[in-house]
Amino acid sequence: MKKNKALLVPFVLWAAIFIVVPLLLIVWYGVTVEESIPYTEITLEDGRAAFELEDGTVTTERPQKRTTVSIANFRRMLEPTYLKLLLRSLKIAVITTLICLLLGYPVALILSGKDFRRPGLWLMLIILPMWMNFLLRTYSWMSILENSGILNSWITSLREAFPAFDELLTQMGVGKKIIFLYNEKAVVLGMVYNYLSFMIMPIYTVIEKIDRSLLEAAADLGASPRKSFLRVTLPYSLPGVLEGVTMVFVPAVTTFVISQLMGGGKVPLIGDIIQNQFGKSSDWHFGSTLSLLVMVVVLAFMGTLNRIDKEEEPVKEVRIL
Amino acid sequence: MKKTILALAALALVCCPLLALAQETLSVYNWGDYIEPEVLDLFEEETGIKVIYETFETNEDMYAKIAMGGSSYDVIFPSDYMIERMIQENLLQKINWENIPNIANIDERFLHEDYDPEMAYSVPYTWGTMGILYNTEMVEEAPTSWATLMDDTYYMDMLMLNSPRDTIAIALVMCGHDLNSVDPADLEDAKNLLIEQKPMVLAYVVDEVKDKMIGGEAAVALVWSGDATFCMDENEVLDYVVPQEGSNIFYDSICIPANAKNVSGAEKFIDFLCRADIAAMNYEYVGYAIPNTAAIELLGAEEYNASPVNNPPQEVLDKCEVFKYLGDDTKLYDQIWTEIISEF
Repeated sequence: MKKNKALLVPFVLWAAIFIVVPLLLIVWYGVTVEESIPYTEITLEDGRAAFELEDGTVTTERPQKRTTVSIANFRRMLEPTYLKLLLRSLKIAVITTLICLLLGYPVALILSGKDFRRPGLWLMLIILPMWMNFLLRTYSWMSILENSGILNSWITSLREAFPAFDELLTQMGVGKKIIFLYNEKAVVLGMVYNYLSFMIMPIYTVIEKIDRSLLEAAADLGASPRKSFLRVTLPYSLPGVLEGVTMVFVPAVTTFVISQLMGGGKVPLIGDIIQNQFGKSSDWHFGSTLSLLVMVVVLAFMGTLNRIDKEEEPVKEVRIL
Repeated sequence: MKKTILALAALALVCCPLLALAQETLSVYNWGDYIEPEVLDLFEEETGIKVIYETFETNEDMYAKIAMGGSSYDVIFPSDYMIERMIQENLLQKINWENIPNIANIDERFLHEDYDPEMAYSVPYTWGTMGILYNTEMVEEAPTSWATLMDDTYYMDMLMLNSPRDTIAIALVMCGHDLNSVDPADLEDAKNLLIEQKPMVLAYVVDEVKDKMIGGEAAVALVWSGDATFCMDENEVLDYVVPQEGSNIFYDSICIPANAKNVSGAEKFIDFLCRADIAAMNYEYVGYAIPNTAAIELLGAEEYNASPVNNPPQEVLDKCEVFKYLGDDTKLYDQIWTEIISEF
């Protein structure tokens, strides 16, 4: 037992340095603000420059900023602007997660089917794009969907080749270039593409491990394939679904790069605003406050999922009828 | 192989601090891709001082590193408003001009700007403007005014900068206000203008503007002149103008941080960068306009001045202003910007 504890030391150290300390720093930044001390520049009798504070004290050192504990940033965070952005982030993350689930579950199911040959190869094909940097993948989508992109140039050449097609599109009110990018749909597309495999993998792993004899028993007892899916496969695969949902939802709600690139800055999410605080606007305090808000939302979400996970323990007995 | 050698060299430096101390070193912190690498080699050759070179992406990154302490650099390259801030926060030291004779090469009209009125802390390295980059094949006539960015001819055909300070400053100019204004009424005008403009904007971008303008994605874009030069080199149908109402002019300058260890080395380096042949070499690599008259002569003044990036008309330049450090009011800009982009 003691030996095992010794093995834990590196992890505990790691967690302390790279998880606990940064988290505490974020909390500290989140509950404090930095403000300048107001002063006026004056010239002393001997010609030296000096600084007079509001209470009348005079110093020759320029007064620096001070950090004070304050709830001002929490108040600012609750303004409609920021809540609206948070709601939009949640909305887009939910849509993304649902689409990933609808697309990913059937794929996982088909791949784990007993008649499916070489599932390993197909899984690899699904994961293969993930070996590339995700920024690169997103840029590829941009060059496909841009106004001057591949898709639009195909459409243009089709229109030139077939005047009837051109007329049809013109009648439908489609402009010369179709704007695919720079809206919410494009952001969702970018996210689904990037996160889909995070949904497929856990579901596949779980379904693949379901005891086949359960399905055989269901069939023997006269359950239709539909019924045995609903009563056996679905309940047993639920832990995989919940894991997939977490792995898609959490990055989707916090991302900022995909929304900037696919949305062209017109679909800002809460992550973009946080990133601004640490970059251009240089307000680490407010950025930390917003990060805390997102953390609470994600924690609440994971807590809810955990509860579902516990309640929906896979059925121990399989009832038919 | 090269990497192994580098790794070994790094190891040697770490293991034998004495060995490293034997040679004078100079620690330089500059923007990425902002110096001709050969210039560093030449400096090392001529002075025997070893340059340790690091780069940053934004003024704010650089500021955070200097302000937090811990690291010490001898030469840094902040922009105007950041210099103002760093002077206020005692992070820079005054430069001893006696050791920088080549300062004589710098054009007088680029000195004594508001961020360092007494010319005590900084030497301008490059300068640029904000302006409109346009595709000559996609616009009917060449833009001359900021009004182009409110013209619905370019509905969903214009790109704006996803940068609170820069975009709001241009909106302030469009409304006829000072581009450094922190007056809530002025900012309200700017905000309303940008909200009115929003439906016409194809996208708010930063670095992507280069790819998009080169690829013909939009007809007009608000850009920094450095990006304009890059795009115009890649695609010759692009052209650049600083609108007649005036704009922002910015400087990236060379400064010595207050906690620099090798001040005499830093002075040598600054003087070296101001030398005509070196500044000319740097210009050809970096592409930003330079304030170095002697270098411009060396490059051929006629060719240099042919570029609209390097040579906006003097009466327009007179209307250009540098950004001031806004202090606590930076928050105001951020808040307005969030309101603009979250309008949906």
